[in-house]
This record gives sequence, structure tokens and C-alpha cells, in this order.
Amino acid sequence: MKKSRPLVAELLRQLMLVAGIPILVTTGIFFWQIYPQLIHNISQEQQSIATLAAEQTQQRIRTAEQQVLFLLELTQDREKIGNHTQDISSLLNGFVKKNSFFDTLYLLDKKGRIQQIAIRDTLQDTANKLYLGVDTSRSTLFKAQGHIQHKRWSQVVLSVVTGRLSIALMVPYGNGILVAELAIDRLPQLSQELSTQGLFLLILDKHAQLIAHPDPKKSQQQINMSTLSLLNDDGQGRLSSGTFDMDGVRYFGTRVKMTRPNWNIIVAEEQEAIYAPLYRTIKLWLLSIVIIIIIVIFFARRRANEFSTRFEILNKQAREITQGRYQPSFEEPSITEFKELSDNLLVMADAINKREQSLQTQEQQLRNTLESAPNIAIQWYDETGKVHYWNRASEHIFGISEKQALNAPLEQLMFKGQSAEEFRKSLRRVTQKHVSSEDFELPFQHNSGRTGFVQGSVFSVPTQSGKDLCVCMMTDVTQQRQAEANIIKLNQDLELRVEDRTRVLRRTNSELSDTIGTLNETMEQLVHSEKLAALGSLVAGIAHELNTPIGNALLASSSLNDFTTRVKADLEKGTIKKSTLENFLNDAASASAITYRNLERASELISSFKQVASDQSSSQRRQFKLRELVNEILLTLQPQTKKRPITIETSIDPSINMDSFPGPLGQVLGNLVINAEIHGFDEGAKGNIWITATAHDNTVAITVRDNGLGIDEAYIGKLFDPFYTTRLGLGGSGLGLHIVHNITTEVLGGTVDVNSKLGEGSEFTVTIPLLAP
Amino acid sequence: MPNLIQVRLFVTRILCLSCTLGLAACSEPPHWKFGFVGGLSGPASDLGGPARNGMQLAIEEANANGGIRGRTIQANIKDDKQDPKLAVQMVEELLADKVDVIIGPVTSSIALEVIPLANAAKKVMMGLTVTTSELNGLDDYFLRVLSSTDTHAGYTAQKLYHKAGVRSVTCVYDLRNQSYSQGWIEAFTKRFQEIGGITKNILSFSSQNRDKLLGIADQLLEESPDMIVFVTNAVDAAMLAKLVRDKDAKVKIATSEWAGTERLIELGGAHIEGAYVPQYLDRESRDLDFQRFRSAYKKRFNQEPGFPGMTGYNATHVIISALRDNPDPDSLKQTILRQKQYTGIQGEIVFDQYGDVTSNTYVTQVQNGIFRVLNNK
Repeated sequence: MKKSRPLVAELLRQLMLVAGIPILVTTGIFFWQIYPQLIHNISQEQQSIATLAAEQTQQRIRTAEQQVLFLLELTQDREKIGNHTQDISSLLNGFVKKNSFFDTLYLLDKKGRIQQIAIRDTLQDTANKLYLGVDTSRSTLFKAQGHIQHKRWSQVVLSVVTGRLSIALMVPYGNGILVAELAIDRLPQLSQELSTQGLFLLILDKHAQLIAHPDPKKSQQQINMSTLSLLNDDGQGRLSSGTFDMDGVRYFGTRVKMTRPNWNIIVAEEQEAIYAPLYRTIKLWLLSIVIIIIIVIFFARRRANEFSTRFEILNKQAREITQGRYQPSFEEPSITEFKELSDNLLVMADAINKREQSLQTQEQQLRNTLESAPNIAIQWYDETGKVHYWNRASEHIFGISEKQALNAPLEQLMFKGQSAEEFRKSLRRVTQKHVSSEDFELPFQHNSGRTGFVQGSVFSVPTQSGKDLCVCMMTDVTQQRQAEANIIKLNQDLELRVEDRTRVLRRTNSELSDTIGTLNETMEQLVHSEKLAALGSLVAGIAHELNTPIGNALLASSSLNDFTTRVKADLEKGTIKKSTLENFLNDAASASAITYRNLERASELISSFKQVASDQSSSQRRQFKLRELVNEILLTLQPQTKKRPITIETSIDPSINMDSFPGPLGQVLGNLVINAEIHGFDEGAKGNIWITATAHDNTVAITVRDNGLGIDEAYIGKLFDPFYTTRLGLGGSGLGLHIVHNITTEVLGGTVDVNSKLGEGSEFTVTIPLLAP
Repeated sequence: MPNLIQVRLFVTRILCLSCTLGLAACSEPPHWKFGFVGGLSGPASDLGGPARNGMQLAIEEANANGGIRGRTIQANIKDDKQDPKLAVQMVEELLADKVDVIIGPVTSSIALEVIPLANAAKKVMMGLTVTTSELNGLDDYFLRVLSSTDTHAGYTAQKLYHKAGVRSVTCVYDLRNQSYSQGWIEAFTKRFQEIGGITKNILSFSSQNRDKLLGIADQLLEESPDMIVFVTNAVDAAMLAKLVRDKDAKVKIATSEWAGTERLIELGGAHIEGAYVPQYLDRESRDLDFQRFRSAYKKRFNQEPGFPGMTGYNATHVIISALRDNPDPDSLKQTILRQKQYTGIQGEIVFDQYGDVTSNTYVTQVQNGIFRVLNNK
């Protein structure tokens, strides 16, 4: 709830706001408009004074300069006349006495020694004795301006003659210089003259040394003011204004730059003096604010008290109405608004009265409605569980009369044990506002002892006493629950049935996998037998090839044997002739040569077959030349190929070296060649088979091409599937090309492609890496 | 009555707010107040001016670094014009202004006049170029960063005897700074005679009138000494040198440290060439602190610091260091004597129990307008 404020504070706050805005506005105007204007005016005033002072100073100096120049002319005139030394000396003395500006005059020769001198208030003779011949060559004055062409003003320097701080005007004179010195303790007079009420004037030389101050003491103290902030804001032209600190006092000043001599003039005024009227104004202003605040407080309190009394009466009136006295009588207030408020309160009381009566009627109607609801038990409980209302449906559903219910504790009603406890908890949660309403379903016991279920919800409604009542509405769901229980049982049966079916299915599945295993085994056996068949044909090939040489050798050796037997017989008989012996020797040589040649051929063949057989049976990896391997393979295939009029041509680069599995590769090529012969050509038809190989980078493409029948396009996709054959029942196992595919992809790490057109032959290409994986 | 309490609270708040605003506008943190007294014009101005500048440089540097414990330093500067009566008045004014410390004066004669005031007020007075031996070994409120005259004068006598081959001297001193000049002459002649030298004559003058110097120049040369020693300020030393040289081009010339300012060269020109001048500082020092100080000083004041400038800086630096250590100005003397050792521009400054120190003497000779330190071999 928002914190309420007392009337006095609120009134005060608003009045302060009303008074504060003008105060802020005037403050703003003062600080943003009047104050800068004031500062501007002061700096304008100071600037004009400073400019004036600078002009006056400049004027003085110019006058003094002109006097010296005039003296110079006079001196030069005397020189022309001659007898000048004495004359010039008296001229200088005369000038020093009459002149009001310079107090020492001397002539320097070109080495810086004093030649002539005149000092105010000093006897000529003494001055001469003391100073003639003094060497000024190391003085700041001479060092800085030793040889000058035009008249020039020095900075503040120590006078070689007087030992006092001075400024000097130097004018070239013949080979030397005429120096006119002014002790700076005379400058403060100038500053005093130019300083006016409250304002004072400072003169600084070009090194910011203070040379004139209204206080003559300060001028002689060689104060260097180069750190003065006013001097350091260069680039602001001839004039600049601002504040600065000196001797712990803050000043507002304006600076003017002079050109000849190169001095700065500062006109300043104590900042406090400038701000005095300002501070007075601010003080008055603060005072007036305080007065305004006091008035506001006083006024606010008084008004607030008056209002409070009025409101108190009205409050009382309102309280009476709250307590049900709708016709309170009070004296009539004098202020219109209060009177209206009071009248309105009475009208309001009347209205409330009427509304209350209508509410009672409405309540009766509601009660009737609740009583006549046939199947909804409606009850009111307080938080302790005591029954406050019990409708007719409740009597019907629970078999408990309204009278019994109103007097019995909760445990003796329809909920027993656990249910009663839960119901009480629901009531508590709802009354303590943890939840706005709560649904529940609980078992109950009918007064007759029969049990059942009720579904209901409970929510709280506020009452006039301030404590909430719980309204509870229930319906009997016993029959619905029984129906649900039946459905649950049905569901359980169904689950059992599904489990049975699943078990049967699982068994069938396992049988099927066994069958597939058997099939796979069979396939492996077939592949193995295919290998054996290949080996068989190999053996046949070997036998066939060996037949010729061994037969020849046998023939030759048996002939030799015959010859030997015959010669032996002749020898034993002693009928041997030289010619017979010679013939025998020739025949024997010829026979042994034939035998030897043929046995050698047989040996070659055997070693070649040995290699092939070893490769085919062992699948070992080794390095080999592709061309040699192909030739060996073709040799082993001869028994099968020779029978048919088909020419096999090879074209293989002899340089192709491979590191791979020669056995499997041989089986692949063998299968492809035999496949081409058997399927590519009709029985007895002539044809060609070309075996070519080309290497690219790290792979070799081996092509087996024929110009036979070709393959129907419909079959090409299935060529490499296992058991696919066009010659089922004619001896084909349907595994040939499947084996080719398997070996190429899985053992040799390559691919096999087929390209064929019906009637134009087929081309199988095996692409494998030179270095098997 | 909650209503009434709330109303009172509200009113109080408004009043407090306006008071705070008002006060905030008026108050400022307090400053440290350093008083200075010394001859800024008049015969001692060549000591007072640079010494004051040295102090100002130290203060400006300290203020640029945030002051002492957050408070900046303000200087209240008084000119005594080397006039004892005026000096007393100035010191009284400083004490009335409740300064935290007084820096100055610059000459021994003034110091003797004003020290009793400082003692009575229990205010530390940090002497500048005050070197009189009369103040040695006193447990008072006067402290200084240069050793006393007798040390310097004795050392100078030895150097002149051994290095310049001087066997006889005639001295002249300024009575206006008697406590220094007389003490110096005494210490000098005592040592000079101990090692075998002869003092032919001792003259003095006091008039501001320069024509008196004419007669003195004649008297100085009367007994033909090997060397004439001026115990005067730089302006008088330069004048006397010129007058002596007008009459005798060969006699050797020496001064005391008092004249050893840059002004001696400026005013003396060729006349002071070859003169022997003892110094409190080594102008040719390669010491980094000195180089830094010298260039800062020249940049700020457009002149050489000389020994008064260095002394002013050192003295102020000691005070600032001590107040940083212990900001109670009433126990400043104890703080300085307890801490004892401070870093100066040319070497350590070490105070004894009486607040005196031992500092170096460098005997120089003017060669081509420059003070050259005599070879120590």
C-alpha cells in the first residue's frame, strides 16, 4: 500500500513547489545572464583603464626618449664646435638635474668603459673619480645590447653605477652608447599616479619581472611574476582578462601588452571587492528565501489545521454510516465543498441501504438455487472444518441430514481416516491462500456404510466477519470409477495377448536368421568350391602343358635306351663297328639334347605353375610385374581356352610394377577371361579377347574386352549379384562375377565397371591401386 | 502525533539543505603559511632576492605536487631592507599573521636582532645566508642550512696561503653587517697567522656614501700587501676592486663568500678578473640534482641561482620534508632535529643537536667572467 502523507506535509510541499519555481528561475537568470554581464562590464572597464594606462606610460616614455634624443643632438652640435669633453660633461649634468625621468646618464666607449658620467645628486668630481673607467662589459645591459644601431630600452638590470635595479634607454653615440638610466624605484610613482580607487596598476618587464607596483617596496623586490596565469594565456591578442593569485589574494585583472618597451601592464582589482555587491545581493536573496519558507510553513500549518477539523467531522459521519446508522445528523458545514461532501455522504448512505436490501434478496435467491441443485453437493466450511451450510443434494449423496452435519465434527461426516485428513488439508490451503482453489477426488462412506467416490473442488469466499469461508462442491463419481476399473482390466488382458504374439514372432525371427546363416555358409562353400574348380582347371592346364615336353623327353630317352641296348649287345658280341659306334654317339647326343631341352621346358613350366598355384592358394602379398602375371595366368587358362577358336591378345606396359595380391588378381582376370569365353561367344564361334592395362598415377586400369554377343541392358545392373546366372543348370554357379566384384573392392581396394552393348561385345575394367591397401 | 513529527522532519531537512549549500560555497581548505623575511631591496638585495626566489621555486614545486598533506603553501614575503628596526617590525607582522614557520633573514646582523622574537614565540626560524659564528651551539628556534663563518673563513685563509701564495693581507669590512664581517675577518686572520701569514691592516666602513670608498682604496694599498680582502657585499666589492685597480694593477684581490654572487661579475667587469672568491656552492657541479635545480631556477627567474638561491631552496625543502613527516608546526623544530638528515641540492644536509650544519666551501677564482673552483691538488 502506498504510504500516505499528512495533509500539512502535502500542502507544504506544493506551496514550496510554487515558491521554488520562481526562485529557481531568478537564480538561473542571475547566473546565466546578469552575472556574466557584470563580469563583462568589469573587464570592459578594466580594459579601457589598462589601455589608457598603457598609453600614458608609453607617452611618458616617449617624452623621455625625445628629451634624450634632443640632448644627443645638442651634444653632437657641441662636438662639431670642439672642446667638447668639458662641455659635454656639463651638458649631461645639466640634463640630469632638470630632467624628471632619468637619474643617471653616461657615455660608454665601444669596449663598454664609462667615458662620461652625470648622476643626479652627486658631485661631478666624485662621480668622475668613482665611475670613469668602470668596465660594464660583463653587465647584463652591455651583454644584451652591446652594439646597437637604434635607440633601445633594456629590461630591468642592475645599474653598474648605482648598484640599484634600473631600466635604461640606450642610444648609439659615435662608436659608443649613451645610456640614460632610471632606477625602477621611481616607477611606482607612475603606477601610483595611474592607480585609481580600488584599482591598481602593475608594470612588468619582458621577463615578467615586476618593475612598478603602487607599493614602492614591492617594485624593488625583483619579484618575478612569470607564473602569473594572466601572462600565460598567449594568443589572445593585446588584451586579456582573468583572475590570478598574488600574495594569497585573488584578483581580477586585465593585461595589456606594450610594444616599445616590451612591457606588460596589468590593471587589477581584488576579486572580493568586485564581488562585494554580488555577495550582498546573494545574502539578501538567501534571506528572502528563508522568509518565504517560514511564511509557507506557517500558512500551510494553519490551513492544514482548519482542514483537519473539517475532515474529522466528515470522517465521523462516514464512520457512522459504516456502522449501519444511515441517518446521522450533524451541523451543516459552512464551506460549500464540505457541505456538498456531507450531503453526498448522506445520499451515499441511502444508496448503500437500498443496495444492502437488494443484496439480501439476491442471497435468498442464491440459497434457493443451491438447495435445488439435484446432484451437486454444496457445503460451506470454516477453516477448522466446521460445517456452515449443507444443501439438500449433500443429504442425498452422503445420507447425512443438514442438522447432523451442522453439529458434527468433520471426522464423523462422510470422509473417514486418510480422506478426512486430506480434505482438511485442502480446506487449510485454500483459506490460507496458498492456492485459490483446489480440485480433489476422495473415497467416502455413505451413512448406510456403502462406499463410493466423490469428485469436487473447494475455493474460498470472503465473508463480512473478515474470515474466509470455504465453498465445497462435489459430485458422486462412484459409477464412473467402476466403469473405469472395468476398462483397466480389459487393457490388462490385451497386454497379455500382445506379449504372447510377440513371443511367437521372436521365435520365427530367430529361425529365419538361422536360415540366413546357413545360406551364407552355403555361399561361402560355393565360393570355395569355385576356387577349387579354378585350381582343378589349373591342374588340368599344368598336366596338359607338361605333357608335350615330358612326352618328348620320354620318347628321346626311351630311344636312347634302345640305342644303348643295341650297342651294348653289339659290344658284347664283339660285332661292333666303328660306324655303328659313331652313329650311336651321334644319336645319343641328339637324344640327350632333346631330353635336356624338353626337361628344361618342363621345369620352366613347373616353376611358373608353382608360382600361380602358390598365389592362388595363399593370397600372399608381393611385388610383381603385371605383364608377367597376366602371361602366367593365360598359360594356366590354356586347357580351357585352347579348345575354342578365340584369340587372346594382350597389350600391357612391361614397366608396370605392382605391390599387391597376385593370387586374387589372377583369379579376377581368370574369371573375366573365362566369363568372356563362355558367355560372350556362342559355341564354336570365332572371336577375340583383348587384355590391356594402363597405369595412371598410382592406379592401374586393366581391361578385358571381347567382341562377342554383349549383354542385354536389363541384365547389366544385376551382373555382380551373387547367384545371378544365365546358365543356371548348365554348369554356371552364378558366383563368377560376384567373386570378381568382391575381390576387386575388398581385397585389391579398387572398382570394377562393365560397359556393354548387345551385339557389340563387352568390356570389363578393373581399376586398382598399384600399391594395394 | 506522527503528523507533527513528519512535518518537523521535513522542515529540518529543508533548513539543513540550505545551510549545507551556503557553507559549501564559503569554505576552502586552509593553506600552509610560510613567512619570509630578508633584504629584498637595499644593500642585501643580492642575497635576499635569489634566496626568496629559491624559496618560491621550492614552494611552487611542492604545490604542484599536491602541497603538504593536501594543503597548498602560501608565502608571506617581507622586505627588511637590511634595516634592523624594520626587520623586527616585519617579523612581528609575520608572527601576528600566525605563519607556520619563518624563512630568513639573509644576513647575520639582522638575524641577531630577530631571533629573540622567534624564540619567544617558539616559532622555527630557518636562516638563509646567515653564517655568523655567534649563533653556534645555541639550543634555540633558529636553524640554518649553511655552516658558520669561521669554518669558511679558516678554510679560505688556508687556500689563499697555499694555492695563491699570499703571505700578507690587508682587509676591509662592512660594519653594517658586523656580526658576519667582523667574525669572518677574525676567523680568517687567526687561521692566516697560524699558518705563517701576516695581517698588515684591517679597515672598515659603514657609510652608504660611496665617495668614502675613494679614501679607503688609498689606505688599502698603503702597506703594499700581497692581497686585499673585501668582506663586503658584491656591489661594494666591485666598486672597491675598480678603485684599487685604478691605482695598482698587480695587487691580488679576494672577497668573502658574501660577495660571491653573480652580481660581482656583472658589476666588476674586467676589474674583478683574477680575484679569489670563496663560495658556498660549486657552480660547475655535475650533480644531477644541482643541474635540475639550476635549469628550473633559470627558466623561472631568468637568472643564475647563485648560493643565495640554492640556500633559499634548501632551507624551504627541509621545512617541507619535515612537515610532510609530521604536520604539526608546533613540533617542527623537534621533527627536523629528530629526522636530522635531508637531501640538499649539493649533498646531504645534516643537522646537529643545535640545528647547525656543516657545509662545504669552494674557493674560486674569476677567470673570463666565470667563478672557477681552484684545483684541490
